[in-house]
Amino acid sequence: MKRVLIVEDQAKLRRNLRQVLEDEGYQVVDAVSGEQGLEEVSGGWFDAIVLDLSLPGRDGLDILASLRASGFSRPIMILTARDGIDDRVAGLDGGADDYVVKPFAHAELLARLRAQLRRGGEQAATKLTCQDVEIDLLTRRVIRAGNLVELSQREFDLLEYLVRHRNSNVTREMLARDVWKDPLGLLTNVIDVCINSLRKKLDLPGTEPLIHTVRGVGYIVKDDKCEG
Amino acid sequence: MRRLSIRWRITLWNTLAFAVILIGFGITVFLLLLQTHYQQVDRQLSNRLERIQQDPQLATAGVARLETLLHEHGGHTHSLGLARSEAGQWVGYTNALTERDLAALGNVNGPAPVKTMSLPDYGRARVLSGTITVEGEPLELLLLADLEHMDEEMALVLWSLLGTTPVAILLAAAVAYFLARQSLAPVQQLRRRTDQINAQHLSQRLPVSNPHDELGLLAQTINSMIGRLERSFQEIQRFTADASHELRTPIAVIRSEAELGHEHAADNEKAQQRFSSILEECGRLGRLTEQLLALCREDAGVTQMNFAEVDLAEVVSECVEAMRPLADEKQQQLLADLEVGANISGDAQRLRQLTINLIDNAIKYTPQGGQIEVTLKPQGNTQTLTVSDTGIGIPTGQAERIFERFYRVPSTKTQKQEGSGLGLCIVQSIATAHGAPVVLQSEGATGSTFMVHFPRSS
Repeated sequence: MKRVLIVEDQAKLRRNLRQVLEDEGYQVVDAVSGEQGLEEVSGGWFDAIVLDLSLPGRDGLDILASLRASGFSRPIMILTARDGIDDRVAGLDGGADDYVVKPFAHAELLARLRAQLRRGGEQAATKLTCQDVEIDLLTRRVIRAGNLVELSQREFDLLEYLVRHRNSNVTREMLARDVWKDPLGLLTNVIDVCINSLRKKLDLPGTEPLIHTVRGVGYIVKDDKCEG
Repeated sequence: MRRLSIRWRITLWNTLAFAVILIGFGITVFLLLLQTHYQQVDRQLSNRLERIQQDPQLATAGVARLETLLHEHGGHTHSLGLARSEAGQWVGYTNALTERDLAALGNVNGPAPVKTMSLPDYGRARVLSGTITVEGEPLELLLLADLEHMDEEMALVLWSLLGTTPVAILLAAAVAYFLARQSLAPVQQLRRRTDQINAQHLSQRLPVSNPHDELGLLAQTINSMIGRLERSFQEIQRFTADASHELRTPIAVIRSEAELGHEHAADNEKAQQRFSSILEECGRLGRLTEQLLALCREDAGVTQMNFAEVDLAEVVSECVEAMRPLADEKQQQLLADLEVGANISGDAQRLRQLTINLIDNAIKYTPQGGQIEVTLKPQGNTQTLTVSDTGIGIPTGQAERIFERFYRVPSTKTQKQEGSGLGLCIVQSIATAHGAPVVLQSEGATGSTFMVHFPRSS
């Protein structure tokens, strides 16, 4: 079982994060302040840390530097409520592995945390299969129920992303950042339209809908055979 | 007409003042000199007259004596004397005068004792008249002084003055310009230094070399102004950062709570719908907060812009392709005519935002099957980005208002009000940060055209 430390001063958010991570099967330790977080790290082993950047007392960037200086080499994910890109860049430069901007969806935090923990451990697959959809990552061809589906480059990337995150929610923010490389989220309208056209192409007569909308959250691709 | 620079104005006024003084001085000197010369000639003439009048032998010795006296006292050509009887007959004149000169002198009469005359052959002369008595007969004595020599002298003086005055004025102008430039050079330097202090370098101050002279005081005033500016910039930056944090944290909590609620209400569809609705509004609120604070920062000019050489055609073409699915969805034609090599100095991320907002706006307000055209062309010293549509247009009189925050074009049709109402406001603020004016052309209901004129990078 993976051990995760949450450093977050906001009580309700800390409680919720704890619950979400525990539901996902992590063992969670939480800390109210950066100093407490450092103590926890010096006293035990953690697979990852979720660190809020705006903390009372020593602020998050400072704690981040101390953590890295003390030799902590596992993934650190920062939470930031500061605006602009600069703060995120400062976090990444300061040794963080990834960031999530408040307000964030639980799904996004979980997906990014999972990706960080899996980092390096996963062999590069050349084929993805989900329900009756086969995705060839090398030839970039998609076959559904034996039929070749013609997709644009963007639609292919979108489908690949959704399938890689199957059985968990994918938010528009995640798609904007990871598929459109648009961290400011300027293209959220376009995302909905692209999902629709992807659906039209994938949902051939006699097949089940693949992409489901989760209202207020985003989208999900479900695959009963494959857990994870 | 453009006003002259202070340097040139100082030069002009100094030169003018100098010229007036110099010319006035020259005229005065010339007139005084002329007067002195005349006085001298007159004095010589009256001395001569006096000597002749007081001669003891004249009354008895007759005309012969008079001729002797005239000869004695005026042997040289430039001084002549002659007498005239009451009958108008010339008595004892020197041979130097011709008949014509004598005729001219014949007109001399009256009480004026000294006058300047111009004799046809003799030239200009000063004439003094007086009376003498020779052998009981009263005679009018005329004594002449030649003015030719004096005229020559005065002409020389006049020409020297006329020759030297313009040279002196030109020299004075050069000196005045040099001095004006010298004394204004620190002002120029002050201006350059002030120019270098912009939003990113507000901690810098101007150097004050002498705190008591005029320029030192000016520098101090500018410094204290920069200080106030720096404080208010910092306040805005701190405020927007704090506001962002303070607003986002509760939104994050609401979102998190709603997500958990959504999850826990998996078997209650109505409750799930409520939670979904909360989540949707959270998303909207989050985006709105971000945009408002970004606008606040941009209006105050405290946004950190990453200016670099940007190929605008590349940025725009990327945006057009990214937005194409939206236009396709509404069966609109999205045309792009971009001239390559449109390099400007700008922040690529911001320019992307500007372009996307303009295209998004055009798609939103153009009905199904309409047409949107994006062009990028050089125009004089600018690169002009044009986004035109065949949409509902902007009602006359509203053109100014569309850049206001939260303004939406009043629509007669029940059109779904999408977007934050901040899109064009953001466009304008980004354009302003790039020194690019935004121009709107709208012909009533036949669509609108937005043009952004970016200054070309040199």
